[in-house]
Amino acid sequence: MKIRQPEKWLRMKGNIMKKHNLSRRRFIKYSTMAGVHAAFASPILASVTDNAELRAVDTDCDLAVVTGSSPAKNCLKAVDVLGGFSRFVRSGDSVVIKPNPVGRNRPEQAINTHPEMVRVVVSECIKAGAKTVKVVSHDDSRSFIMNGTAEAVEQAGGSWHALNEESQYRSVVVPRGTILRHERIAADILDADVFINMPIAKHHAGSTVTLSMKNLMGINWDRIRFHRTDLHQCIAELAATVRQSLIIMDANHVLLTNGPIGPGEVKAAQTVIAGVDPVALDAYVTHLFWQDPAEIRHIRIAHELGVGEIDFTKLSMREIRV
Amino acid sequence: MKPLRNPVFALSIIIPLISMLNAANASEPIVRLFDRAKEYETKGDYSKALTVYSGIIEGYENDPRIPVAAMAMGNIQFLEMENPGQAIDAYDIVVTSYSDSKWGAEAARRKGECFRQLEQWDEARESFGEALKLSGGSTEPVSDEWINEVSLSAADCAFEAGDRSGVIETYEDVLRSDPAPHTDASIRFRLAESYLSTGDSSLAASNYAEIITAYPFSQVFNQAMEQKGLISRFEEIPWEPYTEYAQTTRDFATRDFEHALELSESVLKKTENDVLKTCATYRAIVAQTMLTGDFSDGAARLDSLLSRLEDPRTMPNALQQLERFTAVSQQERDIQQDPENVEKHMILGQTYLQYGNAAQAVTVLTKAKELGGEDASIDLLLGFGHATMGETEFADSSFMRYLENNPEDALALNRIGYTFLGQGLTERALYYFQRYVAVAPDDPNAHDSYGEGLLNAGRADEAAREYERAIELDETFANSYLMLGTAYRQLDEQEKSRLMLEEFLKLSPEGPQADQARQMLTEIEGNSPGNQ
Repeated sequence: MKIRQPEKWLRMKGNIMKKHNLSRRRFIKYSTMAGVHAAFASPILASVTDNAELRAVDTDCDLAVVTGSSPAKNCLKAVDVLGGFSRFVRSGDSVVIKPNPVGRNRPEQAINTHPEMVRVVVSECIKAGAKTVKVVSHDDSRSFIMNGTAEAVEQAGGSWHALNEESQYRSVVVPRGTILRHERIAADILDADVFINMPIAKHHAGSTVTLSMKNLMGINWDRIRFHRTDLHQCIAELAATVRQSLIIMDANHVLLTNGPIGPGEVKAAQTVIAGVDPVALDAYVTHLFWQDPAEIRHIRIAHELGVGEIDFTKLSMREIRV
Repeated sequence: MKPLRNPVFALSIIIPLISMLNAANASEPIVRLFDRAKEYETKGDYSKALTVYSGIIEGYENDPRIPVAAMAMGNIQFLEMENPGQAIDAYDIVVTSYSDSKWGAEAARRKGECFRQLEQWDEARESFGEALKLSGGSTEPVSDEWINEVSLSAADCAFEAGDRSGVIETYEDVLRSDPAPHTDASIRFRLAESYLSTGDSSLAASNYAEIITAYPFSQVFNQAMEQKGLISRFEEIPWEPYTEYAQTTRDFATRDFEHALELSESVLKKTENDVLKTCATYRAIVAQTMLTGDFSDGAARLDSLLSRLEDPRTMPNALQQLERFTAVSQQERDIQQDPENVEKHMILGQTYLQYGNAAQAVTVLTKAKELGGEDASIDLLLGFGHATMGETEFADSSFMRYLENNPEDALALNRIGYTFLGQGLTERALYYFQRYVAVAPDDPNAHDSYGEGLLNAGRADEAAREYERAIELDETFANSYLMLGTAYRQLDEQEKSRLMLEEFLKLSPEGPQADQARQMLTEIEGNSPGNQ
């Protein structure tokens, strides 16, 4: 790791002070309000830069795009290209998976995440040593049962439950929020070692598309507020609050119009896209099936909030046919 | 580790060291650092998240996301660590160096909230005023609600500081800063209300008049029109076109587009005011489009109108309407290119229904069936189309055809029931709700819906039993407590009603029906024997 020379740091400090029109006293106060906290709260300064306890995963490939006739095989290959499940899940981990399990629909209708994909992801997490694998969403329990998600999870050795009670959520601050200040997020997600988001690619009447970031609206309690204020801004702020360890997007069947519950035009794209950057992933899928991602406000805002990279061409991408 | 005895000396070592370590992050993509901060936040380690944000601010001087990092630092200090003093410094970075960014106004507002928590009223008022000024310059306009909240906060601080005239000064300060048109209208309305409360009728009237003549597109226009009597004492306004224009708002609400079109055209003949002409033209286009169903023409005319405006953002409704008209006309073109496509007919039918064009919806959905469409959803959509047009028998037969293929579609049964209930066709609604209960006997919502039908039919005792069953199935089903409270009141069981309403408020203290429940509770208390 490169360490910046002290002279260079001093030069930068001067610039920052000038740029922000801060007095020296205030600048020191400002820089220490973070630093002193960290220094005295943690046993050693090095922990500031030591990310060993964090779960960010470096991969050679940022976006894996796999096309083929089997949703399960597409899914496995996509994660394989990113380095395999063992790069994301360690022995003893608690894993939480959030699919889109809306309604009692067949996969060809492109309304909910393909149960076969959920099945293989649960199974692979267990193989990678996960202590527990829970599949959750703020949806009706009956939906899990009727669309086959529940059966798939149970067969693979995982557990599932609907997040229908307020007591299942915990209030957390939204640091990058301008509309949201605190948000009640599912405790399962906050306490998990690994959070895997498994959205399905759909059109959405309110947010134009529902992809990985919009799918997070199934991990918070108060969704009505999002619709009453500014849906796009709230989606982006929620995405800036909750970290997703891995995203596996179901684009085997894509609902191109009349989402989120159809019936609408369905494209049998036979594709699964995986990655860790929600903005890049959503931007790529939007570009692929709908329009310029910069025209979708929540994708653009999320990029502005530092959630990810909207210009997916800057990332390393691998397209594979199986 | 041996503690450092001299804290000043300790800091002199620690601060540069941390900064050096942070600065080392600059070789990383900034997104990676934001991600790291988020991971620390998810783990509840906000101290480390602050350090990462600090590193971003120091290490990525020209990145447009610096104000986000500063906002995040402020929010963590203010909302999580309860250090408003330190939060102010972070918000200040945004306010002073990135004031024209989309975060400028909100940072100034939160800075004001920090000062207010510290009871530094003058500084708080100044910050709220700054927030309002900055809101006009943002690339994304803030909502009227935001403006109202912030201007109220500014005025509250002036009040707390014991400065009665400061309340009015605050509003006038904001108006002098030439805010965006919607902000100007909202603040002017508050100013007029303040003048009215201090007895300065002439100044109140002139501000109401300004709203009416300069901002007929604003949401406070109709409220200002309610002061017509007061305004007429001090100002001369040719009222007729303004009164007719105000009436079109009510016509749109009742979907009386014919009358709205007639009045809009009348306004255009009678007024010399260019702003009012633009607003009336907009409403004439929308009313005509809804009447003719020619969305392509509507979209083209709206586009032309908006292109003539200096700032189309002054009419956000027109922009949204243009988007809708364009979407519909695109779907219509799709059908012209592919006239035999059943699915495209279905999609257009559903879109027409969403926009309330039931007649056109019925036409294209009927066509979809003629083309051989076998999807049962066509019958369901047709049913809603007929129901909206008041063609109950056709609606009923369409719904029945749908239910023959989908007898257990609980969601559809519920929607159909509420559609008829909304039209006052209680008996029809009860039939579908009853089927909903039969299909989903363990679903509390089914019993809740059936209960509502029974309550509407005046069968409060049976309704109460359904609500009791809903609560039995799910003791957190808030709506059933409220409705059970209503049913018990009708059965003159006041004490049971009170208990249910209190239970409802425990479950939903801030929900949209909370006020209704509180009102009912007040009425029950008022009628109790002790108060008579």
